[in-house]
Amino acid sequence: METGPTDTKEKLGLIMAQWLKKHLALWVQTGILNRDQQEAITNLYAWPEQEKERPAGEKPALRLVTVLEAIGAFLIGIGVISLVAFNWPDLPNFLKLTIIIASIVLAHLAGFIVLAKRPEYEKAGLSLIFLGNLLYGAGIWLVAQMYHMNYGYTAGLFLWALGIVPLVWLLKSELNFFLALTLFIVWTFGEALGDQKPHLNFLVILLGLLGPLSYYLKSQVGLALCLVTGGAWLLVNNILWFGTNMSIHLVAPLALYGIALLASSNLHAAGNLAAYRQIYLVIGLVITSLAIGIVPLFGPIKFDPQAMTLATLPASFWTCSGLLFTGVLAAGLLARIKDLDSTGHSINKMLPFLLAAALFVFLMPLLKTYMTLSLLPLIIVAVAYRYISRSIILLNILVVYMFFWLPFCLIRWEQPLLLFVLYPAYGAACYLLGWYYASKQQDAGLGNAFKFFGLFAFFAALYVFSSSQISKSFMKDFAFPVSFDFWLLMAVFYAGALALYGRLAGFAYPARKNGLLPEERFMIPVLLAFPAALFGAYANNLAGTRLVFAVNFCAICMLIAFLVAGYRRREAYLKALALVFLALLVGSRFLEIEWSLIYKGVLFILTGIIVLVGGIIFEKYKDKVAIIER
Amino acid sequence: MSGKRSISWLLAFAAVLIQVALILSIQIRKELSLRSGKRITVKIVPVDPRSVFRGDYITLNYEFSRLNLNQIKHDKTGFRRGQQVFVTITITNGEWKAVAASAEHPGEAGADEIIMRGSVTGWPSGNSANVNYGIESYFVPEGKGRQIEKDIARRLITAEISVDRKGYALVCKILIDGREIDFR
Repeated sequence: METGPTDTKEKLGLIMAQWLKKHLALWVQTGILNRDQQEAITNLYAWPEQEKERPAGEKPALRLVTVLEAIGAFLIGIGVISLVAFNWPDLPNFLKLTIIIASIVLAHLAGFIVLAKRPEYEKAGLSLIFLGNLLYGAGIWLVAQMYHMNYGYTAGLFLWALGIVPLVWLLKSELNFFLALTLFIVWTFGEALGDQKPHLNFLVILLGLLGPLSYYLKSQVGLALCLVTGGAWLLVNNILWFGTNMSIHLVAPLALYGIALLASSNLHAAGNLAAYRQIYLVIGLVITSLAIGIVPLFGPIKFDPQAMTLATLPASFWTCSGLLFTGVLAAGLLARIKDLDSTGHSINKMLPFLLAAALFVFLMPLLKTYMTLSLLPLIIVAVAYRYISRSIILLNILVVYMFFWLPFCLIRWEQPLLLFVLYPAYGAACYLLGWYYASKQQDAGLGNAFKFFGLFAFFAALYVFSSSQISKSFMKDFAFPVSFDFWLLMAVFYAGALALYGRLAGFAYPARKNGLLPEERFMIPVLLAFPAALFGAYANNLAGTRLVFAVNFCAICMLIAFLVAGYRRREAYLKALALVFLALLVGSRFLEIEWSLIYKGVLFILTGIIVLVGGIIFEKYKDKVAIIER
Repeated sequence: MSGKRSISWLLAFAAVLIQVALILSIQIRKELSLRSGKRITVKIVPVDPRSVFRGDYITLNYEFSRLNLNQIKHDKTGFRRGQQVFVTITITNGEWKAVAASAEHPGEAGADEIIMRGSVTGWPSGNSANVNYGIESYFVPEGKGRQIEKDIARRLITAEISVDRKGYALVCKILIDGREIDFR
């Protein structure tokens, strides 16, 4: 579409643009306008980007053509391969070979003639070449069959892929490139897994051929495939290097590879390479977070004595890690600072911290006692990111990640009680973090998410204590914890919660519209006291039927309080959470055979009375009970 | 990627020629190996699977596919998976059996000896290793593999193998009671 200087034209909104485009087509169809008039009208306006992308609906149609033709060629190709595999007994070998070679040449010839003489059928021409490349594969398999070749499987794939490359280069054809790429990928994994040893030859192909070809063809899909294949190749081949001794050290090359991709993204900041940058950034980010995220889980898992130690790591591991490490440094230094935007700058600044986190795996085997240290790489990265980009997203992810990390502590701790004492403390801290975010107006959504998450963790743990059977078994196994990790985590959760609580002073309704309601102000100390009180009861051998009764009673009262707050605030999440846990608690107690009927009766009657009286009080003061409008 | 392409016919010709040449190069190499190779007939045990690319085939197991390292001469080093290995076989009582295995080509073979090149497969242990010589498959027309399988119990099935001077082996034909199978 011809467009002049856009600033002089009237800008069309997206809806308007879509309407106009649709009706212009209708007017042309019904003969009111001709094509020239349609184009003249089209050129009067400045169109929004999305509509400019595909001017006359030509591109989707062309894409459909490409797909149909490619599928057609592919079907013919695999059809021929199957015919060859049929292994015709009546045809002499030389005749079969002649037929195949003739058809390869014919398909290519036809393709080239179409491309040269009839450029309007470009896609058909490329599809004919694609067919020729498939027939070429059939030829390779025919020879393998003729001579009963057994090792031909992976070598055959390699020859097939290699023979396609010159045509890919010559025609800049992405379709044929994908065929070669797929064949190379199947080839390398076939070789590596078949021989059960690292397949280094693929590196030459990937770095020397497939990578450069992706750039040459400007194929973003091809590049993305190459980068992902590189990561998968690194992992599979590392596993094969280590043999049966799986090791935490596997994570180091993978993390370094991801960081290297992040660093390399900055080399694509300038000029027309910008499109590739996103690919490096996304794939690098995914691989790095995958690798670094695994590390903390390895801490609590007892280190396998059979696994590799630093002394027994193979030279190939050191070479690989060394190369990646220098690659990251080189890419970081080579990036031209003036070309980088804020993302690029923060990546460059993050590189040392990411490297530190990745290299932390070398310390993992030494962390047998203090497994909280295994969280250190994530903490380093999250805190560094906070200082460099002012963004707290990684810190928040770290907080949520702990929810999933905590259960791994049980591998070291003999008693599950400790985990379920930590969870309510963690939940209370998360709830207060939510309030802290809510008190800073701009983070209201984040605040609600953390409040919900914190209460969920708190009440889920409380639910465990509400069962008399579980409580009994906790009491039986109780031993005073000597684990440094337990006390450290407890201290961190309490210190964090109290610090946040301190910051909430004055943030109360009605002075502040979103402030704490009276029932919420009352609940916070209760939430904080609960884990400590529970632990105290177990430590003093007080856990019996009475404790279970008290836990159930308190839990129901707390849930009612949050339910009231939920209705007053019109917070659907709070109402739902309180109702679900209430139903769960009451239902479980009602069905629990272990519990004496007297206790059940007392619990239900007592809580019932409290709720009823609460309801009546609300009704009486219904005009004074504030419902907060959002 | 639109508009009329300027195609160099010379390069296009070269690219297609490469494909044809690659196919022919394997074909010619195998044909030469077959013509120059020594022929031996060995006892086999066939089973019948199928390959998507090459069709039905029978898998051939040889006496010398599994080496008992306690009974034959071999290099001091243990064999690794995927390692290239040269196996010397000799005829005793009408059957070809392995007598030696080495990582390097042992040089000239004796009068009744043949040296075959293979690679170690599976998980070799201290006293045994499985060797793949590239002659473990015999491709047959669709459905014919099962016929041969039926004959295993009743008849003597052998394969004629060609081995060239470098140790590369190929299967020439399958014989049942000494007569070549005709699939026509």
